[in-house]
Amino acid sequence: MAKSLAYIILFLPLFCITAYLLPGKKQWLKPLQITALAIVTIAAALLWHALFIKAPLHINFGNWPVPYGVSFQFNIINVLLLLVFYCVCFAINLFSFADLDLKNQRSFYLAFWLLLFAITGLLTTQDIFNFYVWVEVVLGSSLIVINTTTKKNIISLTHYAIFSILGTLLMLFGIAAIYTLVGALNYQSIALFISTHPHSIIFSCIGLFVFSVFIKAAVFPLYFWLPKAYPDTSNSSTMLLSSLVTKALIFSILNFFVLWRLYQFHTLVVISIVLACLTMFFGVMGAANQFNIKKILSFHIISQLGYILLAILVPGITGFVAMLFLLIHNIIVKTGLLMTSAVVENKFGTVELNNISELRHYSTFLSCIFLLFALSLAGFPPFSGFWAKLLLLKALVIAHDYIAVTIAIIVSLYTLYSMLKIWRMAYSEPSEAKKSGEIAAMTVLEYLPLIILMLLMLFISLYPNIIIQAAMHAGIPFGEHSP
Amino acid sequence: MMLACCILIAISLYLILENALIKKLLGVVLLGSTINLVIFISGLSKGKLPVFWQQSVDLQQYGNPLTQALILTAIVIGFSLFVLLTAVIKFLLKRKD
Repeated sequence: MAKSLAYIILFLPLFCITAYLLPGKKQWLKPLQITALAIVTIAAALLWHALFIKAPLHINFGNWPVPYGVSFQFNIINVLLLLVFYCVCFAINLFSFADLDLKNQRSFYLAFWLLLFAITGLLTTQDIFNFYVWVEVVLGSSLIVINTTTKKNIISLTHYAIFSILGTLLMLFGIAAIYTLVGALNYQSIALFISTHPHSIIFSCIGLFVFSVFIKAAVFPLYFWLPKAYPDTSNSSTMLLSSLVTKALIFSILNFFVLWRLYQFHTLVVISIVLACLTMFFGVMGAANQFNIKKILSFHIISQLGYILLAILVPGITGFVAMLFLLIHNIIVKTGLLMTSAVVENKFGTVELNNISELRHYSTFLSCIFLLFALSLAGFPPFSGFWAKLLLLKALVIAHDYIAVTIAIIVSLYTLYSMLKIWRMAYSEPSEAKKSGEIAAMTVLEYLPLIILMLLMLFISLYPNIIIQAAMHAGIPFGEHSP
Repeated sequence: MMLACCILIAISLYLILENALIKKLLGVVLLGSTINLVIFISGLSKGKLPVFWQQSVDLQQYGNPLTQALILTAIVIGFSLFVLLTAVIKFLLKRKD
């Protein structure tokens, strides 16, 4: 039962890719998208429910035993994350039908499924070389996704591509170094090697590998490609990339830290904490002098990544719970905020704060939703951001990391400042510039995804225990209690 | 061997930092090939003999053949990504006119 559900999750994306490669009429596109997404969402939900009782599910293709074959593991945590990804993708997919900037829909949906397929592989694989292969597939499909716009984005795309390829090549270098020492590529063998040789050169090899994942996930020193590339494409693509790619990569860092017990390696942990704090700080500072809603939100993606990384670096169950909650909260809320800006761009043709004003008179619904998401991101009770930050600060205080606590609180204030800036300039304040002509009202395809995301956000705000219990159930080191 | 790799990596980083787009792309390709070479070396860390099994030779003396499979995968993926990247850039340049 559980195994067949896992096969559905792995192979339905491949089926959809094949369907889009076949010549056919365009009217099949929307029903196929919605049915396929509904099926994978239900399958992931059922699998998640089944995994609460059972041990994590292992799939070895070709039945090769573990040190030789590549194993895929479905546990409570990564299936929960996949479930959230699918729900958010459902909303993005509904919006993409109404996205005016999106062109070449067939290649967008093809890349959409390729991305989902690669993300599934990225989260479930148990082998570092296989991880590298999935990262490359993610990169290839995000290149296609970025390209489905009418904007002229060649410079930002080249930046993105060069930095991503540099990251993957460094990752390959790290893998080669690890393989030289360990002689195996799967996570368990590496964990075993680290526990038997804790003071050898292996840590510098793993440091190289982890920092290459940092480049891919836009952590501090090499983060500036993200606010260039992400706003410079169609809105559906921005949402897809910010909610799936960066979040999946930052989650895989957790995998490495937990499975390989890298917390014993103090230099790496201290450097990473400093990088996480700088990421938070520079992300929010970059947002402060931007006057384009999408640019502001893209800088906030970076600062939120800093929060998640900080939660990853706190050892023990408190950090793990905080990290999972922050991650899921961020996926939902950031997509919601980007979607409000996407609706504005669809209707007004611009997201420059100087050119739009008094949106609250245009649509009360849109401004209410924006305010809900913005307050949630800034961390107001009773929304999900409050629980996420509370859990993170609690974990940091338990770990006696008071400098990080201070920086997190300051960054949180600046986040509120940015959100209020958008609210004041775009939604509330009147301006002298007169609007030219009537603006069309919002359509169902713009209401519906926003409502879905809002319900998801309110659900995890009101029932935070579901995620906390899942994290507690999985425990630290998750997946270890299975053969 | 390792020194050659270092020099190649230095050259490719220099090329990536150049302004011209074609030099950046060539730098990326060169870096990819160099790192494939590094993986190849990583297979020779214990034994160095090519794998033709003979009764008289100890198994420890053979080089690791798995790295060649890894390189093959890395070459295929790197090449396909490079082709995709150049196709996308060409497409965008065409749109600019």
